Amino acid sequence: MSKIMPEYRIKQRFIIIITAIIVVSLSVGYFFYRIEQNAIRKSHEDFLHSVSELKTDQLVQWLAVRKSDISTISNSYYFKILLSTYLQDRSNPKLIKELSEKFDIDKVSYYYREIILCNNNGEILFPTTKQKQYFSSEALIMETVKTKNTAFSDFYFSDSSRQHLIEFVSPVLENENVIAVLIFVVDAQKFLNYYSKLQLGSDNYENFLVRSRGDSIQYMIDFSDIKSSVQYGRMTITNKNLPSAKVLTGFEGIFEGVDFKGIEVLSYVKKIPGTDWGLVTKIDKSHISRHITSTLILIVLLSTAIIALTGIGILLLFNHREKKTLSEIVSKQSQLLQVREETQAVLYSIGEGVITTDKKGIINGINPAAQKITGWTENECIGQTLEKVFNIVNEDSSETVLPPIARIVQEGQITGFSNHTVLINRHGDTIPISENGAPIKDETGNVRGAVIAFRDQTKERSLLKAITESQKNFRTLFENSPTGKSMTGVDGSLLVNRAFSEITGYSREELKNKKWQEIIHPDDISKTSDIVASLIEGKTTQARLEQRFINKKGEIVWTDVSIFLQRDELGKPEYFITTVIDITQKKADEDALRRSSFELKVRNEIVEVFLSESGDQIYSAVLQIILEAFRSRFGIFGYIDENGDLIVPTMTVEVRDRCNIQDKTVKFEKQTWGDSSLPTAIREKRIVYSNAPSSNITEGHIQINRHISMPIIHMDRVIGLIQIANRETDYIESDLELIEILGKTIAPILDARLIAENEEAKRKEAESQLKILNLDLENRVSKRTEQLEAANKELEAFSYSVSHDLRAPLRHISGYIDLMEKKFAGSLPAKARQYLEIVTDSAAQMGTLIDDLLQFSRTGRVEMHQIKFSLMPMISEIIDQMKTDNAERKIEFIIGNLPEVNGDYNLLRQVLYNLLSNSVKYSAFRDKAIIEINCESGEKEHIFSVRDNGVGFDMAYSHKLFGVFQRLHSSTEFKGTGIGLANVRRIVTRHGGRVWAESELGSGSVFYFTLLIEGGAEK
Amino acid sequence: MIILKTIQLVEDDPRDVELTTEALKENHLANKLVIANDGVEALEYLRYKGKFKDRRPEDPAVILLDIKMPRMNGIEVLRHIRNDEKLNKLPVVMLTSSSEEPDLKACYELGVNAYVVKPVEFKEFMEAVKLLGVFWGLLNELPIQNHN
Repeated sequence: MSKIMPEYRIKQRFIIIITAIIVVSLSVGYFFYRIEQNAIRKSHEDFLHSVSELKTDQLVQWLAVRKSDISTISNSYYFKILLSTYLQDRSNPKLIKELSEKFDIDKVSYYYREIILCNNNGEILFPTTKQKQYFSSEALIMETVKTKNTAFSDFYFSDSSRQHLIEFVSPVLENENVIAVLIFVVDAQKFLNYYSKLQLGSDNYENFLVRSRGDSIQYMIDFSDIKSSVQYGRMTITNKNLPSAKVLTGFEGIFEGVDFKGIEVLSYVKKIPGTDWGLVTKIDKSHISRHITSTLILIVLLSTAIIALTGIGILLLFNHREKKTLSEIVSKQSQLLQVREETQAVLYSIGEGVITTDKKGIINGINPAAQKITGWTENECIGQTLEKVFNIVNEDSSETVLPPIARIVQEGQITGFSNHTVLINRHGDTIPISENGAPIKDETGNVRGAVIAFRDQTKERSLLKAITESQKNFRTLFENSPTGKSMTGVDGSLLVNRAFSEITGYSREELKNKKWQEIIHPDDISKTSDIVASLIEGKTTQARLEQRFINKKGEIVWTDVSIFLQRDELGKPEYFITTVIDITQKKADEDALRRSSFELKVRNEIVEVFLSESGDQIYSAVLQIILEAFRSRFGIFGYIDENGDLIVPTMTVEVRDRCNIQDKTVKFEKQTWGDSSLPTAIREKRIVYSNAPSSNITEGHIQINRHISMPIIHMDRVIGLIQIANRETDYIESDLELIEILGKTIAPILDARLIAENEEAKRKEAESQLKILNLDLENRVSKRTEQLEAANKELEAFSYSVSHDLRAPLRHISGYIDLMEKKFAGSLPAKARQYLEIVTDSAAQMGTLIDDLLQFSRTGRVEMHQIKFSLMPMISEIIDQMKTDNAERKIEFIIGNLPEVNGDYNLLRQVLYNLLSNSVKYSAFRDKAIIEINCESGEKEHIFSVRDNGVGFDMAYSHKLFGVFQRLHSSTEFKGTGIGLANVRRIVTRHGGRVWAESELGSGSVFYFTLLIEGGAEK
Repeated sequence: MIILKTIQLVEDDPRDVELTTEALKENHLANKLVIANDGVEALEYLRYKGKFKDRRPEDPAVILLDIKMPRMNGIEVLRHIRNDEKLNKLPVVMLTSSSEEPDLKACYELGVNAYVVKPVEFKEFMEAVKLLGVFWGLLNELPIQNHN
């Protein structure tokens, strides 16, 4: 309502705004107009000025150039001579011609129309043919003569040539005297055309050249219309407003005036320097104003447009607001109606009874619910006093309570009636109600009446009773539950049952004054707080945890706690319901189980170590396990050796460092043991422990704060010791129990280990002894080998020299006997010759023997070159040789399948050769000797046989067969040294084989030898 | 007329010298026989040194070398001869009782032309010398095969 303004105020505003806008835009427009006007004018002025200046300069320059040319011509030396010559002899045709030519040249070069020569008086001397007229006045000529300077006439329009011309007059000087005057008629049309065109702007600009003629103004040239002839005007120089007059008075600059046509003009006027002329550049003012006018119109239009638009805008806005206000009113009204209707509906439909009264307390309205409760109908109530219908009495005292209408009306606030009130309805029934009253205000805020709202509370009351009943039940349950229960406030306060107080040892009264944080183990507080917080935040609805309480005696009580957060109907946390079960026993059982499984684990680890590790690592690994299991910092683990000393192969690094122990293994000799716990434990075969710091600490050793020394006992013998020390907390009963169990676990294994180690040590000892012996043996063998090699070498050298030294004398014997025979054959008796023959034979025999011996020695000495080769070709070769050597005999060789063999080619050849030649030799008496060579190949060796049908030998002496120089037949029967078979045996033996022979006297013999298939010859 | 060239015999045992000489005589090769009793003398001869300074400048057609000699043995002499530019083209035949392989090897490595083992029986010895003479003394040709 407050938004709608009185109309006149709006109108006022509107008018003010419009007026303001009009004024502003007009002023602004006018302002702009003025500026624009000046700007336009200024620009025109500037333009006029510029044009004027430009034109002036152009003209001046042009004139100057002309003057200069003419001066040059007039003063040319050559010309002056010519002229003076001509002047003296004017009839000379030659001179005339020359002068004429000269002038022609000049005319052409400088574009002169005509060049006229005059005397000082102005009489035309040349050209003589035509009677030329010139424009320039005599006065001008006179002036020229007087001033001795070039002068010029005005621009003039020649009718004959229809062109603008200008004449330049120049004196010809000789020795400062003027001897003639030249008049140059210059064609100015081109220049003027050019002059007029350039930048003379738009059609609106006019330019002309003026001069004075006495009082009159002569308009020499109108540049805008250059083809017309010069005008004489009626204008005088006295005309104040005339620009032309102004310039001829000597004024120069912008001039506002009226031109000869009578039109108002803006002009720039300027005298042409060096002349009598003035240049006027003008523009009609109307043109300017035309420009300005158009601008003005534009501005006015613009302003008008702005004004109009603004006006329309405001009008629209105004309209709009009016509309809006109207619609607001309408909607408000309808809202009001709606509310009223709603209220009515509510009133009628709610279960609450509503009675409305006026200011005085007379009922003017009653809804159906109220009617029902009070028992009165609407008609009966309207107009009655409230008390009549609404009869309230105090519940307890039955005193009537008056509805505080007056108070409501006066204070204008919602009021509750007094407590514990009941209504006596029409029928006299007592109905418990809850009621309150509120004022009814009109739109101005004045209290019009009161409305009383009340409710039948019968149901509620009974409900309340039921709740109380159930609460009581709950209390009983809570109280008598065997599990501890508490209703813990959000602030931590405790309301507990009997069981809870028994668990915690505090009475309920005591607990009422405590918070849960005070009775919980300090270490559990944060965990519980977190859970509480998450319950409050709503992350969980209930929680279960194990918690330690500290009971009144200060003991720890393990409990299983369930927490549930009870919220009110708004979701706000009210209190926690916790259920607490004592699980101390269970915990203890758990502990025991854990301990025993831990014990099992440690025992297993220790056994594992013994099984998998070796050497002294076992001790350090086991010690490590034990130290970790007992969370102790220091420790040693040692065993008792056969002398009874304690050998410690491992100790914690720190102990080693601090006690400055260098050796890996430390020996504590029995006699050095004192009375400290360690030796005591060993001697007394019991665990010694202390939680007190050690008293007898040798300097430099570490401070032991608490320790356990445990001897490891097996079969009643102390075989080792473990000592642990410096746990953060005291060693307790369970630690001793555990370590004793570990000791018992370790004992048998350690014992076995020690025994095994002993064995090991012994074995190692034996091994090293063996090694030493082996080395010794090898030494001896190599020494022996050296000796043998040395002996061999000696033998070689020996046989070498033997063969030579033994042979030489033999040769001599043989040789000299031969010589003797040759030289003294005649004088020797036959017997002598016979004896000499015998001597020679003997010598030869000895030679053979020596060769055989050498050979035999060689077969023993010579290095064998093992190769694989086939026997067949060798055999055939030997057989061929035999056949050749014994060509006269019949010998049949039967050759079996002989394999490839591994051996020294040469030596084996000797073997076969020897055997075959023997066979051949000893079967010489047979008509047909049959010799068979065969081979039987076994797994590892070939068995070769050479069989003959020779004389055979007595098997009784077969053991002598292969001896050196051994023969079983006399040399008369069969020749030979007895070395062949010895050679064979030696060679075959060197190849790793064996030889033997079988024979039957008179039938024949078989010689066998074996060769290893793999070639097992000596290395 | 067949001009026989010199044969140098290097042998320390005078008995062997006599026997060899006789053998050569039998084969009419003993005309131009020069004897050296040991290696040193042999080289002096060949090099025109010592008492041989002014001897007739003439190279022997063949040198018969024994091995077993005092002062310098035959193999050393052979080495000297073969290392000496002026002498190494001279044919050398070892005439020795040694049939030992090392000796053989050493001589052939040094480029001996022939190696003859002196047989015990004189008759055989005569045959060997004859062959020698035929090849070296008369024909002056290098033998192709070796007599062992």
